[in-house]
Amino acid sequence: MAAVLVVSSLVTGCAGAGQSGVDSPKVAATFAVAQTTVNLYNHGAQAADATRDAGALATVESGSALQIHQGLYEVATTLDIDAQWASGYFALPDVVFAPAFDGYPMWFAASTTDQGKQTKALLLFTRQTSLTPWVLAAAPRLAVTTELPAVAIGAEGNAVTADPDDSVGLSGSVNQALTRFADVLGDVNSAYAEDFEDDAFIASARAMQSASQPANVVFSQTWQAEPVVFALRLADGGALVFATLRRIDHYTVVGKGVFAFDPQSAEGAFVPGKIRDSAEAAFVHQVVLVFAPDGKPHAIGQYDGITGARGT
Amino acid sequence: MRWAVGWLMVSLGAVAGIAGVGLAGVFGPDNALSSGSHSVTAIGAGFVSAPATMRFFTPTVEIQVTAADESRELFLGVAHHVDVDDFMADSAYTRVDRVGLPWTFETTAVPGGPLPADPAQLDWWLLKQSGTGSLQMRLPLPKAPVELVLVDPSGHDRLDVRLQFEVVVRGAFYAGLGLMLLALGLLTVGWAMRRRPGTTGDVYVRERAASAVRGAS
Repeated sequence: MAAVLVVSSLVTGCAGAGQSGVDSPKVAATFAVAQTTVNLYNHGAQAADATRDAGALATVESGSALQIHQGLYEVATTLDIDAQWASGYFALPDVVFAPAFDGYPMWFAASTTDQGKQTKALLLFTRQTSLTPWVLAAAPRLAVTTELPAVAIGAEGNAVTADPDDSVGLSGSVNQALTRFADVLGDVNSAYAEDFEDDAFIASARAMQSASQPANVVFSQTWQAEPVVFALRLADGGALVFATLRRIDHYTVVGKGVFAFDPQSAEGAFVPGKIRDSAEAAFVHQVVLVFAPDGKPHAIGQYDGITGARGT
Repeated sequence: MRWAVGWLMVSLGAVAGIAGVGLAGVFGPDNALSSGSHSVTAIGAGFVSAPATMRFFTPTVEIQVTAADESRELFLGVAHHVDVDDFMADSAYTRVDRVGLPWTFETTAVPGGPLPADPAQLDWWLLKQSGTGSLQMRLPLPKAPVELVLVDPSGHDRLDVRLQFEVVVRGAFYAGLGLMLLALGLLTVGWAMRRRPGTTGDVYVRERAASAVRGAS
């Protein structure tokens, strides 16, 4: 009996040695899982692109990524062009940022390049339940030379997430800042202009707004930021934020006359022919921004596409 | 002092000897401690072990399952508790709360519906095996908090199996032998050291020496 007790003690004493706590969260993805996920995405997107099958596309994409890609399908179908020209497929990731979760849904981000090595991409994959696959939710492109800031690492080796409504480490919450960012994008006289770096993304919005229009057309642009869901805490206390911004371009015909979109343009694909009153074109922008604790927030990458247009 | 150290070594040697015999005898040359085969029944799809029970099975466990009905489909898998909890959230099963040797197997019935999908088709299993009638799996446990799942994926609401597991602790047998050798050493040295100063043998020698000295003088 004594021998059995000693043995049991030794066995149970050894039990759990080196093991994590029974309630430890799960790191969303290992490096191998991320590579497999990107591989599966490439195959699925490629197959869907070949026939412009929006249903098949929905098995590998979701959210704004799916909307951009479906908009591309409509443009490609109308203009009879190759749907693959802008979608891009990705090399296997070189860096993975995987947070730890106590339950579903989960997400992770992976840094990679497009297969032509023309740009970097920061892919965001989400998984809603244990029964559904990983799908691409965002894929903002960055310049090849862009260096990603260091992400904070947690006890499980996981990337640490940032609460978008948390002001810790930042001058204000991420969601508050993005609402102001949308205001800056839509209004050259915004009261919040000084809160942000005058980066390339803001510059491109200004360029669109100041582009010449037909004499009988009044152009305006509105921007709206969606609430942030995905954000990583940086090692310096800041945040790396995946933002979704909605842009609507408004065209109003003044006086007599008509105007028309370029028939080979994305807007022209949705609204062919003459416009007598007004038109709207809707776009979605996937933007990745860096919120540094001691600097102004700035965008380091983005990806956008038309999601629809209408006119009368 | 020497007497006390000697008895201490004898005592330690006895403990080491008992532990060594126990370790070597119980694990045997294959380093495995077996539960023996036992019949168990699960309600719902099958069994899911609570993460704490998996701490008992370390570092390696071999599990043998034989269905009472040899035509039954069986699935055996190990996955992170987050994945298993989500997968089984709405399913009926029997949760294994406590496992022990020689045989402790405490369970709780968890009500619910059928499995939401064929578990073999899911990609988050760390280890998995499917078969008909019986399964055997040897698994080195990962460090993550995992759960062991044994189910019939075909939709029955009761699972009768014979279950046997073996805990494998590499080197346990030789560790037992080592303890026995250590015990031998401790007992031998301790026994020799345990004689008090002034015991019968020592007095006899001193008296003989003293009489030899008196005789010489």
